[in-house]
Amino acid sequence: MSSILLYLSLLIVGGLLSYKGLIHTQLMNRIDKLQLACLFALLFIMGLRIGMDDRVLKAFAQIGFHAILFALFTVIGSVGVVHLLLKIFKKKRGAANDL
Amino acid sequence: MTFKIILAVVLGTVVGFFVPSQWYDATDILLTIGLCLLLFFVGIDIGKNKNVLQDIKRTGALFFIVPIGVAVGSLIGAIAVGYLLGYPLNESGAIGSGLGWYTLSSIIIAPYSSELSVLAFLTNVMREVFAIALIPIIATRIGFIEAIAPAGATAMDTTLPIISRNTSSETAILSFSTGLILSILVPILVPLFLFR
Repeated sequence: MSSILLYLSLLIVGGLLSYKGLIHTQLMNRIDKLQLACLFALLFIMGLRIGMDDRVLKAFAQIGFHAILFALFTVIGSVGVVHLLLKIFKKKRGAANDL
Repeated sequence: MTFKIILAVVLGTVVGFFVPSQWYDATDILLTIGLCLLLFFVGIDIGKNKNVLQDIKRTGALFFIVPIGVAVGSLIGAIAVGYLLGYPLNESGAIGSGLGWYTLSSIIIAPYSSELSVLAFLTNVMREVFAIALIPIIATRIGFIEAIAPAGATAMDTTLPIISRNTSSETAILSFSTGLILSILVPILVPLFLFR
C-alpha cells in the first residue's frame, strides 16, 4: 500500500510540475528517451529476477503450461468484458444523447 | 517495439542464470528506484497535456467501468480455463484475482498451497509478458481503452509507459486509475476465494 501511495504521489508531482511549466525544457525534450531507458532497464531487471529465482525456473517445467493457459484466458476475458461494457456504455450514452 | 521489449526480458532472464542469488534483494531496490523515476517521467509526460483535468472529468463513468470489466473478465477467463484443467472454482478464482500482480498474489496464496502459489506467480508473470506483447496490437486493432485490460494491476506502473506510448494521454490517465483500483482489489479478492 505504501508503494502505491509513493507511485501515485510521484506521478502527481511530475504531472503538476510539468503542468505548471516548472520542468526545464532540456528535460522536457528528453522525456520520451528517459521513459524508454527506464522501461528497458526495468524489463531487464524483471527478466533478471525470473532467471535468478530457482522456484520460478523449476515451476516453469512443472506447471508452466497451465500458467500460460490461465494467463491467456484472463487476458482474453478482460479484453472481452471491457470491450462488451464499452459497447453497452456507448450505446446507453448514445441513447441518452438522443433524448 | 514489442520485439525489443521481449528481448530485454529474455536477455535479463539469461543473465539472471549466472547472477548469484544473493543479489536478488538488490534487484528489489533497483526495481523500486526505476519505477519511481519512471512514474515521475510518466507524470511529466501526462502533465504536458494542458487539458489533463478536463480529460479526467471526461473519463467519467469509465473510471469504474474499466476496472470492473478487467476484474470480471479475468475471473471468467480463469474459472473457465480452471474448469477445463480440473481446478476447483475457488482455486482458479484466486489465480484470476491476481490481476497481474504476481508477487502479492503468490504471497497471499502461499499459506494455502505452495503449488497454487507458484501457479499464481507464473500465471501473472506470463500475463505481464502477454500484456507487454499485446498492448500495442490491441491499441491499434481493437481500441485504446481495451489495451488497458491485459495489463491488470500493472496498468499503473510497469505497463503504464507501454500503454501511454501506444494510446493517448487520456487513456494513460484511465490506465493509472484502473491499475490503482485493481491493485486495491487484489488483496481483497484473492483471500476472499481461498479463506472463507
